[in-house]
Amino acid sequence: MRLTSSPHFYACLYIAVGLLAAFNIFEIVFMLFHKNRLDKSEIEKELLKHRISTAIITVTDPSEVLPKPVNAMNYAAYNEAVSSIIESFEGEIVERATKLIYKFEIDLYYKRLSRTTIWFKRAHAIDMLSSLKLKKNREFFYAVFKSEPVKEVRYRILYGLSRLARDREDIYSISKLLATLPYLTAKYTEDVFLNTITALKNAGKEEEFGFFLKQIMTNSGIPLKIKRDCLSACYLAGCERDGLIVKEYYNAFQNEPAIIIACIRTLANVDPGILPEVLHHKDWRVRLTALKYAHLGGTDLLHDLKDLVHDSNYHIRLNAALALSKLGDAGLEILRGETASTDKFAANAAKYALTGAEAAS
Amino acid sequence: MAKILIVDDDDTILLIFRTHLSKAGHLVETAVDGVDALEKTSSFKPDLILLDINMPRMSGFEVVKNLKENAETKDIPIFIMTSLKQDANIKRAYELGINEYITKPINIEHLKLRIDKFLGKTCS
Amino acid sequence: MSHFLVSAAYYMQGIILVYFLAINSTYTLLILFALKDIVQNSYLSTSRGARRLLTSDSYYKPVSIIVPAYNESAVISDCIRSLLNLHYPEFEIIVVNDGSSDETIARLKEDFKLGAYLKPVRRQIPHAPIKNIYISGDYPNLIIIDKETGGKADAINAGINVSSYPIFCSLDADSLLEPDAILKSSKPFIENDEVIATGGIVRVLNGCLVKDGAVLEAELPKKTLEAIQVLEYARAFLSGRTGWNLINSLLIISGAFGVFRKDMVVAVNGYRKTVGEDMDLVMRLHRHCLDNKIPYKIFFVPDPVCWTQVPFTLAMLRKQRNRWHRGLLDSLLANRSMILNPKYGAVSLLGVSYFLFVEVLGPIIELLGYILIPVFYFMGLLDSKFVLLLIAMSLLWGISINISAIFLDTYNFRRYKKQKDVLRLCLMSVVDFLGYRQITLYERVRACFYFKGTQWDTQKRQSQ
Repeated sequence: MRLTSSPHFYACLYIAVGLLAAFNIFEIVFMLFHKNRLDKSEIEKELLKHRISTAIITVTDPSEVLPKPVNAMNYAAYNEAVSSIIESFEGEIVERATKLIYKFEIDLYYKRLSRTTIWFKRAHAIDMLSSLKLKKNREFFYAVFKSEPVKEVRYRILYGLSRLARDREDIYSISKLLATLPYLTAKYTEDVFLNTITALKNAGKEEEFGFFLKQIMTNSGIPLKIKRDCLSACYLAGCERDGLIVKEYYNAFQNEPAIIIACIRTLANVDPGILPEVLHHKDWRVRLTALKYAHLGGTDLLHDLKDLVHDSNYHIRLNAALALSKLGDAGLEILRGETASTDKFAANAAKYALTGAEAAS
Repeated sequence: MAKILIVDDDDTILLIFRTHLSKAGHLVETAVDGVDALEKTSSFKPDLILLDINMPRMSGFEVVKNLKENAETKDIPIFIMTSLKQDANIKRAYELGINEYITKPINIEHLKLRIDKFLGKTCS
Repeated sequence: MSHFLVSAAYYMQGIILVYFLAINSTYTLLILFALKDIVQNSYLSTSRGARRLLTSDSYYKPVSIIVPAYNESAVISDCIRSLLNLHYPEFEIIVVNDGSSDETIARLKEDFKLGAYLKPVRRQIPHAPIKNIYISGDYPNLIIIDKETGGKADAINAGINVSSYPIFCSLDADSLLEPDAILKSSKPFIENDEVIATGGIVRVLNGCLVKDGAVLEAELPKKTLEAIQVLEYARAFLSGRTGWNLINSLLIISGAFGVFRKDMVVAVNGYRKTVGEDMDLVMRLHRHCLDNKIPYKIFFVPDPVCWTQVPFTLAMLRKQRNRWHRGLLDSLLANRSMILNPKYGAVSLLGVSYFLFVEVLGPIIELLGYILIPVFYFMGLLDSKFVLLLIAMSLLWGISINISAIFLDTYNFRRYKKQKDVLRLCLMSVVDFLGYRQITLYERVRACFYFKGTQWDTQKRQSQ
């Protein structure tokens, strides 16, 4: 009651109520206005993208028929339209699109944006620049990487750089820069190197990646995980010609299961001779990976596979049975025998693999 | 000269193809996903289908399967255009019965020539 | 004696006032955090980024979608068909029939050509016995488990054991996932090894235009009861969940739509058989990682959407809220080592405390307020001016929080295209205080006294 009898207290309450009421009304009005503006802006953006794409395909110099971008939405429209084109096409329309970007200084706009104080706006600008795949941006990306404090943005810069890789030196720099950052995920790193391989392929210099692999093999400055991801990227990109180098890795890193696993995927196809060795490797994950490719090893492995169906590890049993099912009649014979085994787990695995094989045939 | 159906979920790509191939004299129809593609195939009856793989509602592989199972549409030639490059995908596509597997990035001039050559072969 | 009463009344008023200020300030703070997170999200995640997962041969992790089902024969086939249309490179659908007494299995056998599934199952987490496992002849990524009744938690555990992939998503049978929901909610797992769970937003399906298992147009349902829930879900998810991302203290991932890393869930022994199994799991995940010093992240991604049916009668609503509150109490009780425990840092001191003081004690104090304030007024202990101003302030503040939630929704996501719908939602912000809030409040306090066991609640199916 002492509180409520003070006149100031009531004045405060009245002001608070008034402010709240005003705030509510303001919020509703602002929200509707904002929504309308965004809706209109989106429609305009789609129309502009349509115009841009049509201009690029029909006119030799599209900058003559298109309006200069003035606001963020315009720039976004140009960026999205052009990056769609650059992603999916090559040849003359890509050249026209690229010239358009330079003419309207779209890249400069995003370069400016990449220096704002708010980190996620910088990240966004970097993403937009990366999707344009402009070769001239290479130096810019290297420079920005050096001065960028936030690591989330740095990952994106490296990603953008990877799409512009020219030769083994470039890829080597990227891998060194990657090594300075905390390891993110295998998928991210693989993707970075896949980008570099794609960029090399498009320039007709696929063999540069093989040289790069050779270069970093004995380099202790590059962490093991990154080397492993490079090998995975090599496999995913279908680089069979690098089989010799992968074999060298296999021989050099016998103590590192992660590397062996990455090597098996490529080597199983070009050099199945390694299969018997890896099937008996002490690390179960190596054995497991070997099993997934065991069917390429031919009938020499039948005996080993039969033993592995009785392994204590669930994944090994299953994959051993599946490998047997892919080795023709001899394999199926063994599986049929195993279904009667006293080892219940082995019998189940065998039954599963058999029905799978029979359904396929 | 020919009726071509282009299927891709990216508007920009559809527009580029449509403009370019129309200029070359073909009659072009577009579809934005698998279901749309099947509908347009039966109504438009194209001479050739250019198909992307990664699409919402029904993947490109599903579309090919459906087309090949339908007696009316099983003879329509199909070109797959996609960014997926793995051998497994290429093998699967050919096993389903497609005619050509074209990986992105695509040179649209070369594609036009390939289409003309292909249609020229089937016409004669 | 009356002097004692008067001072007691004075202190009660004080407590109620302080609580009211504290709770509303917390909501406002959460909304500000949420605004920052949503703005950040609008710059960082673009649909182009999500497409990268699709256009690559390998830049994704396969996902198992587990759908526990009890007596859902009316909707289960539609649910599966809509899931089969998901835009994702590699996934499997595992429907767990939890001993339904209706035609669920027969229906599924007919619709999807089921045959026996022979892959041996690893019993990593315990659950009620499985009778049979089937695989669809038409769709080799559709697996149906037929098991004895054990409850929703039990059913998901069975699904986890049978699943083959490193990530799983738990989904309700009457919910509709947007085609790119898995894409957007699994992306964090690919980009960061520390992520162990993400939750997406659940939106109200009632009133929306649905075709071929996909939502074409989002529209507000005509019935006020359902429309208010649209507002409530927007508030609960956009301000209630997003805000916690900043301090890595998200405690609830909706049971209707959550994506988890299987190895971590197996490490905490799966779901516990309880009413609030979703919150319980997340709390145990926090505990496990903090106890074992495993760096981890659990956060809410506002982009991927799951549409779900909400109760459309008062009786159904009350039962649901009663069940939710009992679940909350049970989770807090079972994980009480996390209450005000500095060892667990922000999660305990801020996250769990929020649930304890705002969600559990809050309704009790608020109800007390509703009772005591008029009593004190009639006893002459309160000034009518004060009472009126207090009520006006609490109403307006609450309404502003509601409108802020709607604003957060329209800022980035703009699902409700019609201006009329947005205005109607603003009206609902007011109507919320004219009875709806009080009903849910009452039900929650009631739940405290009726705190007991677990059961499936059947919900009348609304035909679309």
